[in-house]
Amino acid sequence: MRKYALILTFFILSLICVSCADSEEENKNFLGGYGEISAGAYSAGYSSAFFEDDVYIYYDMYKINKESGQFVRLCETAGCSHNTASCIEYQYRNRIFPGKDRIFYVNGKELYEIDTKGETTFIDVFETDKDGILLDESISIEKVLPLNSSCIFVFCSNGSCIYNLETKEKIYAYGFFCCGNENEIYYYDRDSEGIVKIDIDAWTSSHIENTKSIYPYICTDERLFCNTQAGAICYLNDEDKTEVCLAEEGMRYTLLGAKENKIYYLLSDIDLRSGEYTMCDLYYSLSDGMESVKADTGELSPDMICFFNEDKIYLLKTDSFLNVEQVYVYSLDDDSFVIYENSMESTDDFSMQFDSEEDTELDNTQDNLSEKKSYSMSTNFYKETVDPLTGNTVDVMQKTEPFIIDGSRLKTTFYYNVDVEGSYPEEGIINVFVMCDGIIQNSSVNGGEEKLINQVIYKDGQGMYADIEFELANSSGDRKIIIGYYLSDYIITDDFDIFGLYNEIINYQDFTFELADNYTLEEVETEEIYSEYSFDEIYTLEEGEQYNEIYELAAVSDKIPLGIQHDRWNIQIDEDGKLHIIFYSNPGQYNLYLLIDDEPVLINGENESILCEISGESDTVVYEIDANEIFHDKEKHSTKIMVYNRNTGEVKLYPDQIIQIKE
Amino acid sequence: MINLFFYELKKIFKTKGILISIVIIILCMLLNGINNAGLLNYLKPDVLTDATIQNVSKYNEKLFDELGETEYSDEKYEEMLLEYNSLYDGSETGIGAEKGKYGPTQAYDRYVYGLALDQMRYLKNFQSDISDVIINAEQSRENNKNLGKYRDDYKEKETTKAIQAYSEILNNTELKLCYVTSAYWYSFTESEGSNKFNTQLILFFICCIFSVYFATEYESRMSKMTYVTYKGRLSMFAVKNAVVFVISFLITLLSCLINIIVLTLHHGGMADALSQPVQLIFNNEPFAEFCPFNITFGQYMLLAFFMKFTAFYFASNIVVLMSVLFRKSLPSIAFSALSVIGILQLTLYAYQDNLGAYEIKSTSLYNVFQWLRTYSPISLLWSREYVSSFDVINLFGEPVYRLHFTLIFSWILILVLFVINSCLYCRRGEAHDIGIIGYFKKIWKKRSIA
Repeated sequence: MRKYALILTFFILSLICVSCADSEEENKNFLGGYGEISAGAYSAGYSSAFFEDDVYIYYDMYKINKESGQFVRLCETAGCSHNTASCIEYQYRNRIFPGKDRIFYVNGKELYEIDTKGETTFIDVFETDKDGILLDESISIEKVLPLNSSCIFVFCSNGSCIYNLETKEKIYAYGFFCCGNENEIYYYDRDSEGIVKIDIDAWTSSHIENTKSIYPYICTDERLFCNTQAGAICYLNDEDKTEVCLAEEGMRYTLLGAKENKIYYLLSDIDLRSGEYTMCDLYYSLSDGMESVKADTGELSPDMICFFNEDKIYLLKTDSFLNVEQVYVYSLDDDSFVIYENSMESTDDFSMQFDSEEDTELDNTQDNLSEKKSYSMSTNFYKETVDPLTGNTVDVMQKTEPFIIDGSRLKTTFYYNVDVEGSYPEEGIINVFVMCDGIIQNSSVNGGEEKLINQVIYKDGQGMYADIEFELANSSGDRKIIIGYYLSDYIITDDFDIFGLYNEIINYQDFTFELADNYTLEEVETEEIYSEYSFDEIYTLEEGEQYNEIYELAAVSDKIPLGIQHDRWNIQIDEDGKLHIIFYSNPGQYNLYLLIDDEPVLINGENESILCEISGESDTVVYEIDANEIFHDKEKHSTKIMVYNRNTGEVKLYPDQIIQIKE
Repeated sequence: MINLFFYELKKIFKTKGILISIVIIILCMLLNGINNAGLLNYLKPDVLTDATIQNVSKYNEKLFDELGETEYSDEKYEEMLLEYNSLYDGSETGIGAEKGKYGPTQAYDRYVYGLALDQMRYLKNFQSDISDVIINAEQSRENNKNLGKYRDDYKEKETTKAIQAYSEILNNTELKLCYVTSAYWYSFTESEGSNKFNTQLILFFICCIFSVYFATEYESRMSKMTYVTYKGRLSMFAVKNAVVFVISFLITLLSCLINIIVLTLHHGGMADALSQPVQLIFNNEPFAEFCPFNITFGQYMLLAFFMKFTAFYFASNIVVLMSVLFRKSLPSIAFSALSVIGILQLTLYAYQDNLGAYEIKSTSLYNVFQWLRTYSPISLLWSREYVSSFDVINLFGEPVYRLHFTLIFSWILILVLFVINSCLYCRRGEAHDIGIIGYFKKIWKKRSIA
């Protein structure tokens, strides 16, 4: 009897175990969708790509239901913190990349191929740079680009290389603008400042002359097409010389991709200074005859992020926080066009939808808040950052009072606190500025003189109250106001043997509001935005060392925003006394300010900021300025650049360099 | 039967070996408690110079006493922010020289007030975080309805359950500040820090106690005597198992109480925190922000106690099984330690903290951890994992909380073990005296002779 009881118990237990085991649906893929995942569309500057299966289109942390157009989060587990190995987002977000007819999966420095069920096959590990030195632990593969059926470009900081999947050979190349066909690969080499061509069969490389500032983008079987800084499209002819094929004054051409004998591009009449445009269309041209045909699409905008594969073009529209608003899908085969709109509402507006009929406390709040929109805000936020030199935490708290509009002048009060541990300067200078649509405004702090950058002294542990007032241009429409500050932290000791570059924090509050005839002020919530980066080296100068040498700093952010691979700047002085400002960043439009000793400098005599564009295939912009116009003495000066990203609304301050003109 | 029970209890406490094991277990628990309270830091030379930092929780408690049962509101938050700003006045360089209201200097005041402010900020963000979860669940449910032939009924039930659970929490949660130190929750989470080593020691000595308790009877040949008495079989086994139950319960109770007593003495009382919803417990990090159960922290502590007791009682039953199989102390201790601590080690190894990692260690290993968490009662020691998110499994097409399932399954296993153990204990024949090893040795000899 006991025996039978035991047998029965074991049987029940095994039944329970089996019933709980997840039955694997045959059709389910590793992204939680159904059907084969097709190798997706990519864009050179971004570490997310589009993928598609029978039911969904996937991008970043979203999946779009193709039938209903609904955007859903990739990880559908309620209450998931997205930081454990069981979370789909943690496993696959920014880790899968399209290849030609296959999908690559990245785990740290290891590269795998992944099939639809999620089974991985190891390919190789990328753990050294070109000199064989092991890369830092924190570096991982950020991006994989397909070049042809056997070669890929693996972007891995100093270990970036072109990799041959068949022979397992590597050619180290930094800079992710490269492309290829079955016979050749072209990439832009930063060191030699030009295009390098690789012959795949011989696996040898050769530099192509006179290709500075021309960035390879598409390589068909016949020729290589490139974007130019001036907004034109050119190609390399049979003699390896560049020839412009599509250019028009006042128009910008942006290459997207090529299929068969057609090349696809965006054409717009965007004005770089103001960011305004009246038209933006998708075109394709026959690569031999260059006859242009406009594709039948909806309204596009030049700041859309474009992803291309041989079947479809995905055009992504994001808001200033890089949240996806719309996805336009253009099918190359049948010339059809679909728009998916993200209707997921943010809880910042407290616009929640509950299934039950219960009335919640927050429903009332929602009603109140929905009336209070976009006139002024009082925000409090708290940020903890780590000083890269000492590893100590620096606590910063800021707050502003609501804006008061007095005629055409705006006033607010800004609180600032620093709780410092370690070697952070105990007393220093805070530089406060107000930016409106990317242009720094004349403002006064604490009733002082109106300046572009106002300086206030702070003491460790003391609260600082700054009354800010500025004039707003009297025109209607949305205005994006940013109040920013940064610390002047560099210290030069008397004997000049150390100067340190400290973690410079820039924090700001983004206000967007509409000018109307009758102003009403209410309190609303806003999101905090901050950008932060740290330095990975301290430069120590030996006595007698020349200050006008080149110091190139790589600023590596430990919170790399989507798509930003590297941000840095460089300043060089040549023998003729010309100052070269070189700015590296992702594609986009920027307002660039040059600050000498924390004062904005007039560029070329009149412009306070440089309006520049880094287009889809380049990563640098270079400006030449006469050094004598900027530096009027032979003293040491701190030189910084402040950059306003017109696409994302972010403001960044880049580390300073000490410049001294000796002759 | 009651007399028998007390007699058995007396027997256990009279055995020298068992007494030594119990004393060692109590010492381990004390060490655990002291370490959780951060008191061992006093021994580290670089901390000695700033030893008053260790008393921060006392200053913290003083502040929270003054704040009282502060409910969250935007005005209160603003007020606290202004108060925090004002605490900077007059402070010198370094850690501040002016006498503080809560701590020895103003710097400590600023620090503890910052902790209170952190908690306020967390309360502020809590509602939007939970409503984000609800919205995502709604979106997911809506999406599932639009999947046509791929529509999944189970998914719909799961998302509905999630929405109901989190909506209930959102509606019923009063946002209040309360004093809590993170040290308390480490005392209930066996998987973190030095708790790992201490737990293994405790389990090892449990193996020693119960192996000796059962095996001595066979080794001293008393089993033959008791077997032929009126209550020498199933009744005897039931009484012995009751003793095992009581001892496991006492060990669990001691381990929790010692932790609480040491922490309370050093960090102050936690009366406020006991009635606080578990989702709102915060000290530098949230304890279980996305817990789907509408329970208070006090109820969680009781639940964690019950889970710990289940794990220890299951381990004890494994030990009993080994004892009645082998009928000798040493092999019984060895094999039970191997199985119980082996399972624990496997769970520890499979449990990986992938937070902030650039590489994912292994998804298959994490799947092993998930499996163990469902079917292994020892994993109940990781009590926080069960309540920190919406964790359900598919049981015959219905979503069931993993916690509920594991608890029920564990007790079924314990019952099964009881039945098996009683069969083995009460069986007749040669194996009764000589144990399983001796039995197989004899068979082997017979075969060799044949």
